Parts: sequence; structure tokens; C-alpha cells
Amino acid sequence: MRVSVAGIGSTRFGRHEGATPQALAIAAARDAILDSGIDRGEIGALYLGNFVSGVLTGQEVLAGLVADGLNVQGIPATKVEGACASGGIAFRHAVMAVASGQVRVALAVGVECMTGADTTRVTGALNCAMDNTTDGAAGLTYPGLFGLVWQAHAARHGTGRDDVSAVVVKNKRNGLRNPLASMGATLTVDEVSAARPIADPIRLFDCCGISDGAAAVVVTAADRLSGHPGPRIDILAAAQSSGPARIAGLRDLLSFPATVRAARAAYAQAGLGPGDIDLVELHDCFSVAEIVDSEDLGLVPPGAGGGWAREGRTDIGGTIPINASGGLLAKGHPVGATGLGQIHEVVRQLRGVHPNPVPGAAIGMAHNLGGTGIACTVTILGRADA
Amino acid sequence: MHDPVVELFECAACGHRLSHFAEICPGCLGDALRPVAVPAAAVLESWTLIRRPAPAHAGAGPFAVGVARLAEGGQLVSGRIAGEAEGLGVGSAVTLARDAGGRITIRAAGAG
Repeated sequence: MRVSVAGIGSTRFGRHEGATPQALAIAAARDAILDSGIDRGEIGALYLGNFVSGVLTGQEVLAGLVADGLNVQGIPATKVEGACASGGIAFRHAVMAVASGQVRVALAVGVECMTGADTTRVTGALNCAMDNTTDGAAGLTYPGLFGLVWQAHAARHGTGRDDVSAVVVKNKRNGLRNPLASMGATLTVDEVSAARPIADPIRLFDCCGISDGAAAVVVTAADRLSGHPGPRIDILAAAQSSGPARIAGLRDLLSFPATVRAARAAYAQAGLGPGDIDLVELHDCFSVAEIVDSEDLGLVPPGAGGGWAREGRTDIGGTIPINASGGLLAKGHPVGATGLGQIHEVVRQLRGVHPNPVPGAAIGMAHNLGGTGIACTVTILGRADA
Repeated sequence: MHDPVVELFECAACGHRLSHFAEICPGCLGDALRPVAVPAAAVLESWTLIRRPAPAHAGAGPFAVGVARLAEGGQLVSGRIAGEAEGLGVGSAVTLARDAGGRITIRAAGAG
């Protein structure tokens, strides 16, 4: 069965002083339902992605709270957790619920509230996604993980500060025009290089910001949308994979097997290859992650990610536009919401209503990575009329 | 003088090796993992300096974490870099050990 995106909604990502996760999630879900034009009574299942709400806000049972707030009680309301890939996982479950014929309409929501906690508490909460008997016990943090990745990439491919800074400058610039992004900025390579060190060689602007936010997508059978205005956006692939639970399970620091597997599965589902993708929103939790992810997704040749960024080949208008939204670096990274926020951005591109349009975009990809590469989703969306 | 060794875990049934203890062997799902001493020689694949530690390591100050590849078997292992990290770089010869808590540590080859 062909499954399509019926509606999308998103709060701005950034600081929402005093907001509860359920309030943000309900707001995004309401917007997605209204955008879909589908009566909420038709929603047969709700999947909610969240990662650290219990630790940081003390609030769990978010799926049920959101179902209650939307007055769709009675349907199965399920929270899923896969670290920073929680939102993408929620989306895939909603797609499967419709594709299997179990329900006609499903709602996926992702949410996180993080800014109420200080950086140390957030670091501790995020480290819950690490194997704390090995990598965590060594004192590793997520900035540290990507510091390790960068040093290895530099040693093998010569990826330097200016290559990685080009990612930051591009994404921060893209974020300036995106109302959903709160951390857009005009930065120079020198400013990025001079920022405070966090986990060498990662510096402040290499890190995505601690954020609050929610995003939601309504999915339904494609034939349910006949007669709806605007281009229909079909879900050509919704793939999910798992990967090694710790660094010791990797063969190579320069590749996350979960991304490679999910991308391979997604291309197979869609009957497409990397050359067919017009744009990608990928998981740039740290600047160098964009470089490694783009290589793992097959969009950039192995080892060339840094050079492509520096040469502008990943800009809008380049060979493969990456994170035209500003990505996690400029939008912020409310961890449970990010995966659905990426799909929201891709849908806006394919509908032709994005503030940073990729001209002629017909097929877009979203990539959401969790933990030390323990979970990943890759989604491919396409205009039905393309 | 003997070459240094580091303790890993090996499945008596299938020979699968892990750098961490597990109740069940992921290779054959058996429960016969046992400690095994292997040569501690390794090569540093990467390192980072943690300046903002997680709460579990609060107060430890900046410290280095590395990833090394064992010379025998080629497995990657993460661990705290012990002693003087200066002079270590990607490709440096290092030696693995375990601290009192059983955690892997990495130090320059030949360092005391």
C-alpha cells in the first residue's frame, strides 16, 4: 500500500520557557491534523518519539498525555525511544501501521524539553544513550565521540578545521531564513575556529544547541488524499536499523553501520539510488557528523565530505544540498523531536513552500541517528506528480 | 621481561572475543565467556580531550579519551588515556591495561 504524508506541524525549535513536553507535542500535532484536513476521529494510532523527558522533566506517559490532549483517547498511543533517533522511529511506526492496513490514518509526534536543565544535567541525560559500562565509563561524551571521529577522519583524509567549519557556516547561514530555527547566524570560518573548545577538536559552534521543540506528521493511505489540494507527498521508503552498542563494536571510526544499513534498505525500498536524491536533511548533531553521514548515505564519496563542504557542493544549488533548513546546528536539537522535524523540512521542500527552497526538488531524504550509532532511520519522500 | 597483556573475554564455545564482560556470548548465545589475557599492544586510532565531562566524571577536569586498535585481532577499544598524553597522536604505539575498576586504560607504549 502506498502511504503518503497528509499533514505536518512543528513548533519552532529553541527555547520555550516553562513549556511542558506534552504542551509542545499537542501544539505540533494539532497543526499537523489541521494541515491534513482529516478529522482527528479518523486517527487510528499515535506514536510518540521522546528520549530524555523522564530524566529532565520528570514526565513520562507522553503518548497517552498527547492522545488525551487531542481528545483521541481510545486509540493505541505508544511512546518509542531510540535516543536521538526517537522521532524518526515514531514516524516509521506510523507508516507501518498504515502500510499494514491496521489503521487508515496514523499520527507521529516527536518532542523534547531540554532548556530547563543546565548543560551538565543535559550531558548526563544524553549519556544515557551510551553504553555506560564501556564508552561512558571511559568518560566519553557525545562531543567527545565526534571529536574522535574527526581526528580519525583528519588522519585518513586530511579533513581540517576549515573543511568542518564550512559545514557550520553553511548551516548557520541557512538557519537565518528558517523561522523554525532559532540558532541561525552569520559566522566566519575564523569565528568558528576561535570558539571555546569542548572536546578537541570540537568547539562550541561545532555543537548543536540544547533545545525544546516538537514536530508531528499525519500519514495515511495515498488514496485517502485524492482531491486534496497541493502536491501529494508519498513515503517512498521508511527504513530503520540498529548498530553496534559501543565503539568496540565498530570496525571503523569513520562509519556508522546503522546509517549504512538504513540507507541501503531505504534505497532498495524506493528503487532509487543516491543520485536520485535532490536534497537531504541529515543528522548534523556535530559539524563533522554531517561529513561522515553524507559519506555513509552514499551521497558523497568516502573521504570527500570535508572537501565537498568547503567547495560549496553541499549548499543549496550545489551537487547535493544538505540541511537547507539549517540542520541541527542552526535549528537546535530537541532530541526526541528532531527526526520528525527533519521530515517536516523535507515535506516543505517538496511542496515548494520552504523558506530556503531547493529548486525543482522532487525527492528528498531524512536521516536520523541515535546514540553512538545504535539506532538510525532513513526516510525517502517524493512528490507523487514528479 | 614479559610483554604486557590485557584481559579480554572469550567464549569457550565459539572463540568470540569481547573487550567488555557480557553474560551471553553474542557470537553463539552461549554462556561460557571467560577472561583471557591477550597482548596489550595496540595502535591509537584517535583521541579527544574531554573538557565538559558528564556528571559521572564531574571534577575529573580535562582528560583524554582514546580509541585504540589491538595489534592482535584488530579490535577497536575505547578507554581513558592514562599518564602523559602529550606526544601521543593517531598512529602512536600504545599499551592497554585495566584500572582497579576494570576499565580499559590506554598509555604510550613503554610508559611505566
